[in-house]
Amino acid sequence: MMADRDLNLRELLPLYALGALEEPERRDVEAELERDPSLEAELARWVAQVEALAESVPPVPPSETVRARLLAALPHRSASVAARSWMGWAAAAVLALVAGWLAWGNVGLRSELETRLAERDAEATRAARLASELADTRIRLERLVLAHEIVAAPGARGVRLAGLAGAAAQTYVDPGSRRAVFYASHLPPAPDERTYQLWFIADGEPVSAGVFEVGPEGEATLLVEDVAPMESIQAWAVTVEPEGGVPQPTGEMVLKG
Amino acid sequence: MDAETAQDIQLLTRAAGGDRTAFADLFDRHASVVLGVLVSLVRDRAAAEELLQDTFLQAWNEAERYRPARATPRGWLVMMARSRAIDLLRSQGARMKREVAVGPELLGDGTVGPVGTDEIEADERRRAVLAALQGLPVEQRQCIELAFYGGLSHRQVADRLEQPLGTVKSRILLGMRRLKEALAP
Repeated sequence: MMADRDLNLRELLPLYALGALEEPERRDVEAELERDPSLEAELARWVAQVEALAESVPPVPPSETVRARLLAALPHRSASVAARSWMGWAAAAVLALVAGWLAWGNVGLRSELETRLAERDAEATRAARLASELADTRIRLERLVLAHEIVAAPGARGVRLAGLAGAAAQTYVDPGSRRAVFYASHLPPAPDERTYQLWFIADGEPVSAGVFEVGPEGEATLLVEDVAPMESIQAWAVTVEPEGGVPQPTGEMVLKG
Repeated sequence: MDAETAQDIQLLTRAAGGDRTAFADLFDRHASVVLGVLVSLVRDRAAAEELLQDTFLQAWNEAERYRPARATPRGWLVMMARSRAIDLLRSQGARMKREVAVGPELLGDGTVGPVGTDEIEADERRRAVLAALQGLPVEQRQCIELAFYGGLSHRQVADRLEQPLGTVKSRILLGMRRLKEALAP
């Protein structure tokens, strides 16, 4: 059965792109894609057909409300495993409502209709928040699983980073998948409008491994894809940079290993 | 890679670094197509908009895991959206036998007709894809339509058409190959 599935995995790619596979075939295809990157180009060709089919459907512009709600619900960019605050979203929703109310201007004109609309919006925001939270939890779980896979991979190597008193940090690289995971604890929050950025130094050049935020307990986790081959990485470092990160390090180096 | 795709990849890369404006641009460029696909699958505007929001939220959270070798950003978004809609449909399917109406001509309310130049181009592409679909042997077209517009798995398509699973798989594969040839630039 397994051998039969193996033989046909390439032929299952169009069905995978269409979303027409069920378990376990879907998982088999995904595992094969990880194992054999040469399949990716072929998958891309099938996904292009699915895109073409998507063009056969008349587009439906989303309402402005959906757009605004989505953009307000985006969590701050962070690979931190720290629990994201519900309070943050609740506060954003309340702020949005208050801002809308103030913009309305003439308070006297607020009729029952507006009140009901506000109630409906609040309900919708709550529902969106629940959906966001669920999606977020799923992603955090996937990240944890992935982080565990990296640390437990054969040949994985850990590097300790130091420099900030009281803070501890470590990077593990899985040489097979070329992925890395960075853990830190007891880090102080980054200064206002600044962010921490992780780098690896490969062949003497710093390469950005991404920015990260620090959780309430000073903890942070960052998953890094496509790191340089392990033997060419000479060091890892964390710098403090402007929000969003920079292509080359400019700020103070706070951790190194 | 065309210029549009290159620009999308750049926007997605910036979004992965936390750039919300880039992400909003990406939303503006693709949300209509993605919502069209979702409405065609779930046939409920409110449910489709909720799925649209979930899809883009997932895109924001997983932007750093996007792999250009596997799909264009739009293909990636369409696949994510379809996967979410299909999960929803299959979970509903466990409770009730869903009537599957196939074909883009059977879409529910909420669709908006083309108006501007971009829309006219989109309409031309739409006609080309529909013509290519029409050009397929009927049994291949039926399988692809049930899978794409109906969100059915190959097993469900086989049940629906009372055909062996292997036959349905080959029909989808052959149909997709023909479609690819028909749409090749």
